[in-house]
Amino acid sequence: MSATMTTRDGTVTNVRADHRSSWVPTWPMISSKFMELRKRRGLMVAILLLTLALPVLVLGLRLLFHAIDPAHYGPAGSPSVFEGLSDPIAQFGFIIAAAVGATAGATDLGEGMFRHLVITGRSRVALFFARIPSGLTLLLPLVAVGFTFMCLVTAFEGTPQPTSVNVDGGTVPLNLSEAQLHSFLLGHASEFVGGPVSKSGDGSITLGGGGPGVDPQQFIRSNFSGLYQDYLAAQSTDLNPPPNEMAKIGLWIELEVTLGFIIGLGLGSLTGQRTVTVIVLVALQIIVTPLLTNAVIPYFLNGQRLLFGVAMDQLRPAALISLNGHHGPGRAILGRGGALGIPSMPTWAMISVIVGWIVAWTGVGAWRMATRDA
Amino acid sequence: MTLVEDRPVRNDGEWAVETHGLTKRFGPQVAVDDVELLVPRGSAFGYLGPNGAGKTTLIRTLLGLTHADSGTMSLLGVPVPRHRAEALARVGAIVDEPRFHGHISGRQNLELLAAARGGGASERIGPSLERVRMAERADDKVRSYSMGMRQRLGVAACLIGDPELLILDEPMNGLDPAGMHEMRDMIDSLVAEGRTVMLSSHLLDEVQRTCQAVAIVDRGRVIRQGPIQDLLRSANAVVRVECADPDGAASLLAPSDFVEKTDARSGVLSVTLRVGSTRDTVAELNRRLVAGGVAVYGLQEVQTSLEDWFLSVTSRLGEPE
Repeated sequence: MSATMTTRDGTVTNVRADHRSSWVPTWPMISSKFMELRKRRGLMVAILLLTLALPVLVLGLRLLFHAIDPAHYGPAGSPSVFEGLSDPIAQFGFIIAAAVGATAGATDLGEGMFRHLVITGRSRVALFFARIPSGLTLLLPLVAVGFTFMCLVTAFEGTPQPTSVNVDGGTVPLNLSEAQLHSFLLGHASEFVGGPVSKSGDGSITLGGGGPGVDPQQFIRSNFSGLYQDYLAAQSTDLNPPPNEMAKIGLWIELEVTLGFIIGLGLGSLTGQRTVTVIVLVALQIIVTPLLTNAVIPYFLNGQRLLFGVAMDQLRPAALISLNGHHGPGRAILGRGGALGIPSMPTWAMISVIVGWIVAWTGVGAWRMATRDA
Repeated sequence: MTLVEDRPVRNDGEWAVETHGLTKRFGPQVAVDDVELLVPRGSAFGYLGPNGAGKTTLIRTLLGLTHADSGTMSLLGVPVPRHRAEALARVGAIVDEPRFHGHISGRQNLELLAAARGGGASERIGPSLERVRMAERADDKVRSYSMGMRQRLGVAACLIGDPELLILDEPMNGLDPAGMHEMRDMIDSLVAEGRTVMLSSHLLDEVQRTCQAVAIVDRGRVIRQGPIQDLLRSANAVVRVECADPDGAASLLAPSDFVEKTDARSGVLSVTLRVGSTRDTVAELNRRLVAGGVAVYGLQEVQTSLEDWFLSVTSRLGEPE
């Protein structure tokens, strides 16, 4: 059986050599799909609004107000603004990424192009995989630009940086590692305490308080985990995140966006319905996830941990964890406490849950694409 | 690169499309029923059938858009779906109404398809658009195209792969008379280049003008196939008789062994002869009328059209057994 096509002008196309059956998409497939997505005006407007316009508008207004009336309006780049913007960018990033994924997964089918594409003889799985780099190439750079703008404003239009932070009544130097903080607290227990420490009924620790009973060093050893969280939260409240923390936050947001895109793509390919997919994922993100992350359900704890929102919340960089009245800034529009109330997972478990969601939805999408009637 | 010069050398093998025992079911409904189909290479082949006969389902099965429940098939001598990629590399097709992304231009839609096709397809976009006379509107968004323009864009999408076999599902749908004429000319020119064109249609007149051979499908089964002339030769000949007394002439001819049926209407007698009748049979008919005292003013053999034949074949099938 011949696998070549020979043309009269001498062109020979080896059908096997052009990898038509391969699962790997070609560069032209990726770039043309990128072009098709980029040409969707409504989708692009939504992407730009939620990834770029949101931080630009919020920070732009704060810059303006601070310039006009600095007495009443603080610097635009304060740590609280940075933290306050990071979470919505991640949330809206997830939602718009899910919409882009659903579009990439469902519109070829809905608009009648899927049939034309299948008739080319190209592997259906390759057609599916071409959508992943196309969509991510559209999303990730825009999210990065928006986040970089936030970082620049925070770095150059922020508050004057202190050299120490106040932790539960004591003064602690900045940027200590966990081990360094441990040594510091043990070495300065008496300076801090000047007497016994106390622990109130709600679990908060007072190093400088009075009261009988507890050896300061022993108390620090047994409650160090909570003290460390307090220290991190105090740093995130009072300080701009250092560049490495900003980079971590940026990567964390990009991971959230990637997850949204992959899940949207897989679900969109599965259902063939863009609108349904977007509605389901928005509901998952702003209703189901907050419900399941804000309460510990004893008999369903491991089920809760399988939710990607819980894993993402627990994986969130330390600079995004504040002590403003609750553990964590709250991961969703309707949420408050975030998943930090759920007993934490080991890092490998968080990563496994996230990778599992990515692999599972990629597999579901590819399988449906390969088996669907066109 | 031009499309005409870019013809692939044809492989060995007599049939462009070959199916044996091909069956496709949707639940209890048998859409394609044990189809034996042979489409000769280098010709225009019509696949005819009433609505719901299973034409589109057969095409979708051939192209791997849906799976067959049983049977074997090959395109250009290549078994499918086992070697689907190799087979479809040399096939272009329109299935159902041609639909594209409406928010991008016709040219950009073809770029998407050319990227998937590879093998120099992107270089054929321009010539393909020229050939279907869409070059001037190629950069307009598809949502502004008429149905006829989308049909032509669909043909261009087929041509970018420089196909040896084109499978067109109802290609005349949505075309005005001029568009149908253009499409007919295009199919003729494609066949003249040595390509095979298989088209499904319910427009029998168009198929008769365009195709050299046909298959008739009804309720999922191919009931006749072959060259159109051979099929029509097997049909009953009809003779129109102008005479003074059509009713009397009908009574006179009814017992004749070469007459299938008679029909006297509006002063004209139509006599349907049995299969196998010749010109001598017409002369014998005339002799009997004259001998019976009927004044004959004229005799005219009516050319059986594909439509007449199709209706006679399919209506017979529709009768209760």
